[in-house]
Amino acid sequence: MIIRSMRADFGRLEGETLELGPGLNVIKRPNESGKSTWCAFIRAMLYGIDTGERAKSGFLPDKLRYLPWSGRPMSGSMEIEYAGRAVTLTRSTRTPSAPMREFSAVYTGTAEPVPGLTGAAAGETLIGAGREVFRRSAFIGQGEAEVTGTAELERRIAAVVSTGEEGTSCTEALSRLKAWQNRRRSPRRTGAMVELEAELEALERQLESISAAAGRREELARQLEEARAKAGEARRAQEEAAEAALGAARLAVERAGEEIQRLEAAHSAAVAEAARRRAEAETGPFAGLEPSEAMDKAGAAAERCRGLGGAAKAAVSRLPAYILAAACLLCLGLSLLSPYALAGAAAFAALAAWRFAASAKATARAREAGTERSRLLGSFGARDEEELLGLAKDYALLCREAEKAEGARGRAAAALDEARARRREAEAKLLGARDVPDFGAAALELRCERLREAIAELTGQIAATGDPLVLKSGILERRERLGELGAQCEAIALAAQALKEADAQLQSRFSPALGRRAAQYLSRMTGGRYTEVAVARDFSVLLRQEGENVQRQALYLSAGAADLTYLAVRLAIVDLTLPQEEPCPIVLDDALVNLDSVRRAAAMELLGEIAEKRQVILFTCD
Amino acid sequence: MIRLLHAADLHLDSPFEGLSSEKAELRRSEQRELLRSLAQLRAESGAQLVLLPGDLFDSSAAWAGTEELLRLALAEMEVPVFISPGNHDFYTPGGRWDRLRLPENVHVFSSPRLSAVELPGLGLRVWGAAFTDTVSGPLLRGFRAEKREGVLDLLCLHGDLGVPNSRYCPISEAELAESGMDYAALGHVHSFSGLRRAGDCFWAWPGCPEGRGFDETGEKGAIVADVEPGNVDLRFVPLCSRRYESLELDVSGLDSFSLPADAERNIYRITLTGETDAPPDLAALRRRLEGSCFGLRLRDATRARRDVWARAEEDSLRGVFLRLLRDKYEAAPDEAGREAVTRALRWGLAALDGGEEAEAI
Repeated sequence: MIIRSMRADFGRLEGETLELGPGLNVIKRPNESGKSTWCAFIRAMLYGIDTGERAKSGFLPDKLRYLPWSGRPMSGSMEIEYAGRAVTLTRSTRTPSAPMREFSAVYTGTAEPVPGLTGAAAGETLIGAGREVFRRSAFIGQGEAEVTGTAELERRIAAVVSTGEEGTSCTEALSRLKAWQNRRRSPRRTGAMVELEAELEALERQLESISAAAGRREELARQLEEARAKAGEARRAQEEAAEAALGAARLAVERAGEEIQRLEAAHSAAVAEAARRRAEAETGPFAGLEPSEAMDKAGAAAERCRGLGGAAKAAVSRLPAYILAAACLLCLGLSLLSPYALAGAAAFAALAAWRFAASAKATARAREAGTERSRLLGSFGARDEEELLGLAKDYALLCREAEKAEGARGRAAAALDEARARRREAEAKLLGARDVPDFGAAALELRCERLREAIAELTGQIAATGDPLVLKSGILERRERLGELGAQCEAIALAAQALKEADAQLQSRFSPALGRRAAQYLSRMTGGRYTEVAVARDFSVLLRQEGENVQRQALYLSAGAADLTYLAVRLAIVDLTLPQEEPCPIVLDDALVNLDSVRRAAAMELLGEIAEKRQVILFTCD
Repeated sequence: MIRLLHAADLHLDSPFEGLSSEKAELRRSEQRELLRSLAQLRAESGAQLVLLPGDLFDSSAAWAGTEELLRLALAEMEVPVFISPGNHDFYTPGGRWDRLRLPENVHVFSSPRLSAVELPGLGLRVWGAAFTDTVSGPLLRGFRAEKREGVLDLLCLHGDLGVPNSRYCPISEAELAESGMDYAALGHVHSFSGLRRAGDCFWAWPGCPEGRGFDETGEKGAIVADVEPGNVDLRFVPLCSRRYESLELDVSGLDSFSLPADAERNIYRITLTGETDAPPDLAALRRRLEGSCFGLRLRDATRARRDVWARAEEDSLRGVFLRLLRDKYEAAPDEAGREAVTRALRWGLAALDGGEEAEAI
């Protein structure tokens, strides 16, 4: 392909045109005259504007950087010679967000579109490589001399040294493997395996907590068993004790009952006895009297009776009266003898009469006393004083007996009361017998209850945590999946390792090819100063100066030498990777600016040589 | 003649392999069903005696309810039940077996020394011993029961037969022959042994009644045996609600492959073998089969077809890559090594071709 002419509304270029010829074109322009803009324009016409690029510090994407200063939409046309025919490429902007999106490619002077040339594919078709390869090979922008890698370039370089078709670069394949690996386990601790491990860990934790809880539950169950046994024992002992106490109490109550019955009977008897005795005592002449009073009374009565008895017995004898009467009679008789005897008789008669009278009086008194005594004794129902005293004694005896009976009754009543109190006591004991002894059963039962609660809580906790069988099955499943994914990772790693080895083998072949070609160019441009160039996979360059043993990195070279080195590498890349048929132009934007005159001349000479085979467009400021 | 039910290695509450959590949950309830099935089998078979030689539980940590179900099932059996704890559920004083308070018809052997329980009503003695730790020395060694006329001697024991150095109560056929037992109901090995005989002693392992992983494939169940002096009639009764099945499938038959009719209740592991260009589409196969079985695990053990290596001669990244892997493949010491290289090959080619991931996550 040869660019014949260009017309651009692009950045500072406002409808400007640039005519080019085949071979070497050196376009000398001062600074800020649009050299770099033309370079960018060529790229834009071929590949379009990448609207995906975003502005960032120190970088303006083409879509902004080359907005026409005139304010017109970005557009341009390019006359090229392609496959032996003149073709007109035009690009224009319909919407500001998609600059240069409208594309046409027609055979010049006709409306006939060129087959295969589309807005997206024009560059690829015309250059024979994608935008990125073009930028790294035939397009040598200002300050972009250094080569960087891209998958396509790599693929192309690999294709240079191998006969197989390369659909994929090693870097691409490796990055795919890496991505696949990362889906399983990435260095940032993401991926399916990491997730599985987290799940596994969670499951194992759950299981652990369950088995800890189950262990605790087992221990508690054991304690419960123990406590339950102890509580049972205590309860039994307690019940036995209660039973015994109850039996005893019941027995005591029964005994008390029996005793009460007996005592009641005794009491009744005593009461009857006392009543009888009292009645007995109260029937006699002394009723209501104290025994001593009765004795006194009886004594007094007996005394009187004895007095009366004496009085009754002491009747005055009538003998004196009779004697006197006899004396009278005698006197009377004597009177016959003496008259004086008559007086005696009369005295004697008087005395006898007095005697008789006195005797009759005394007899009446005695009789009276006897009657009185009898009456008195009768009032006591006694025949004589002895009996009366005996009666009083009997009464005293009866009184004593009654008193005794009363005492016995009182004692019986007291005993009965006591027995009743005892029974009440025993009854109270009987009622209270059940909760008297404490063998710790209640405390143990409480403990059992607590343990049961704790066990129930643990059971709930375990059930809430999950089913160990299910958890274990889950763990098994995940371990298996992990194992499988691990094996996949190993397979991926092995594949990556083999790929890298294969790539290294290839690289050891394409690097020399690239290095040799670059070295030829560099040697020519430096007058044989650098004869060996080695290009690594990352396109870093090592070179060796003629006569030196040490290779040095291009980075450490002077700006001029470095530019030259990269120019050589790029030219080598162009040679090796871009199609030889329909060779595309090489575009250089001030690429020789750092060179001294000798080297520039050498470079120009080389470019001139190259220009015999492909168009070379060199923008320069002098 | 006495009819007995012999089951072992129930491994209650054991996890299941190759199942999602939801399905594992379902399996848990099914595992409990197993206890009821056993009780049912006891009733249906009319067994007069149940021998359970160990590993009824998978671990000491039993899930709430399982123990209760065991208790119920054992009570439902009504007939005498003998349990000889094994290495997974060994006896400890005050441990699970004490705590369980099993019904009265159950006898749990608790000593590592063989002892007998006599059942005069049935005219037999049941000998048994317990593991008291996760491992056990030989419990049958040097043992000989003094025979009694007209009394059957049965052994219920967890142990490993034919592995002299086993840590799980190693038993030898000679010991069985010497033991004077008429039938030895053994536990520990997870597959049915069939009826075996050592001297005058018949013996068998029922295997576990429910598979739990791909190492316990096929029909699983318990034994119903009619034992009389000098003769044992034995019947294996499948009890498992689901089977683990391991199938190999040549990748050429992949498209026409379908699971058997009763696959729904089973868990399959299908290993794809044979040669392929591209890795077999396991995801598609999974989609197709998943609905018709309970669980599915797919393993790709296919080899890369020779054609894949053909481009190894190419002078390209791919060619060099293939050559490197082919060298590794040929140098691989075993099938696993070759499989690893095959997988790497598939990943590498997928990356080079810009294709999909060779194996789904």
